[in-house]
Amino acid sequence: MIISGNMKMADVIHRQHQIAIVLNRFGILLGLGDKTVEQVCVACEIQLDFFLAIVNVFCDKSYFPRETLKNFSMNLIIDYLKKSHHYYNHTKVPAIEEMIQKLCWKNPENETNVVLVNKFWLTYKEELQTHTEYEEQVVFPYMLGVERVFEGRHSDLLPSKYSIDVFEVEHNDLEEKLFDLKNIIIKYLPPPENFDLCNSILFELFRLEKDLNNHARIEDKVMIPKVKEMEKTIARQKSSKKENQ
Amino acid sequence: MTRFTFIISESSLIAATGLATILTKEPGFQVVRLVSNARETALALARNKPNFLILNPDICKTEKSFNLVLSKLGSARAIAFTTNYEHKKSVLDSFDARIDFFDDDNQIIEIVNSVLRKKFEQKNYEPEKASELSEREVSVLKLIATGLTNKEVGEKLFISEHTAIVHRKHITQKLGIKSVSGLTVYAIINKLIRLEDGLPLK
Repeated sequence: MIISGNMKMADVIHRQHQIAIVLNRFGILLGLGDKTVEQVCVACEIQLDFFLAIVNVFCDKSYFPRETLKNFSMNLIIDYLKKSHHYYNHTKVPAIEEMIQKLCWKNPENETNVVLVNKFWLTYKEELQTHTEYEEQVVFPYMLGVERVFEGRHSDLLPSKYSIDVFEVEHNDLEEKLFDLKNIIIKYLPPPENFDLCNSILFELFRLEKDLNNHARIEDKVMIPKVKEMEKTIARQKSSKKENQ
Repeated sequence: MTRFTFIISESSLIAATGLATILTKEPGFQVVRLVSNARETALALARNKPNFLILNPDICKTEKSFNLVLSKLGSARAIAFTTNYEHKKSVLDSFDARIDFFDDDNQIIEIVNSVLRKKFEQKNYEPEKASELSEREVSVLKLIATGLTNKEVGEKLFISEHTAIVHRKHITQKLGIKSVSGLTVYAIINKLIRLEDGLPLK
């Protein structure tokens, strides 16, 4: 299903409940009544095309916003990505961490497991934080620089030797540890006493993984193509300038 | 309906026909060949590729001919059909089950069904079996879990770095754990290394 502006926002959530997470990042709150997607966007001062691109990429693996991509400003994209980072680091991760800390085993011999799982989670958490910090401190400023040059607001050519290709290669392994943690819980950890909690942790890990995948897809299909396009144009301008000199 | 095919290898035609009659009463069971010596049995196995071979070990006059039959089994399950009690244990151990000359029809069907059950149970457990680490892999895992690089692992075990990488790849495939810290956790849970020996997980 491709989500469009004239659908009722409430219906969209009924069909694809996971976009509720995305709505929060846009500052859209529930209590939507019968308002259409477009009406909700207007009321919240959100660019409709951008909202549709994000929710469709989020929900549909094969969707690509070919037509509308050029209309989105970098700030808009970055703002959305930063909000998702905030959600991971300040909502999702602490919630899972709290549950992990409550895991317990009857047998004191299993005390090691508590230590192990906690420590493993901490390494994952740090990795996620490092990753998001790197994006916010290196990648996003670079992208804004590219946009400035592209729009002619900055006379310099490119802000640094960095290119979005480097980022494209580097940004991948976030799911590796998450996958390992799921497998450790499913296959190798002695079952803890509070197994319901253990299941809830597992569900949360699966959900986080899926959400991170969707997030990565937005970077791959909205952010990276947009930056690449600008990089190409700038490189072309650069070479034609040289020819003229 | 699932069909299971049988070859009966027995020198007495009366015994073989009787066994075939009992088996074919069970829905889905089909006897495709009756044979009476080892050579014929090997040929029939290769040609008919049955699910079951019911074989009287007495028809194999030599150990060599018995091994020939076993080598042609393929995916067929072998059930011994015994008419005396003088078989070597090593011979009987080559079979998945044993039907005796004096077993009644219900017993015979039940023996075949128990082999079928075992077969399917084994199928379910195959992935688990396959994921057991070899001794070598365990020693590689122990070193990785304490934070050694592939090169260092190679040096310690007197293998090339490449071999160490291959072992590591297999370990990751078998365990479903990719990261070093994940492998450390696995090694500690399974008591391959002690918590204090593990790569500090910060």
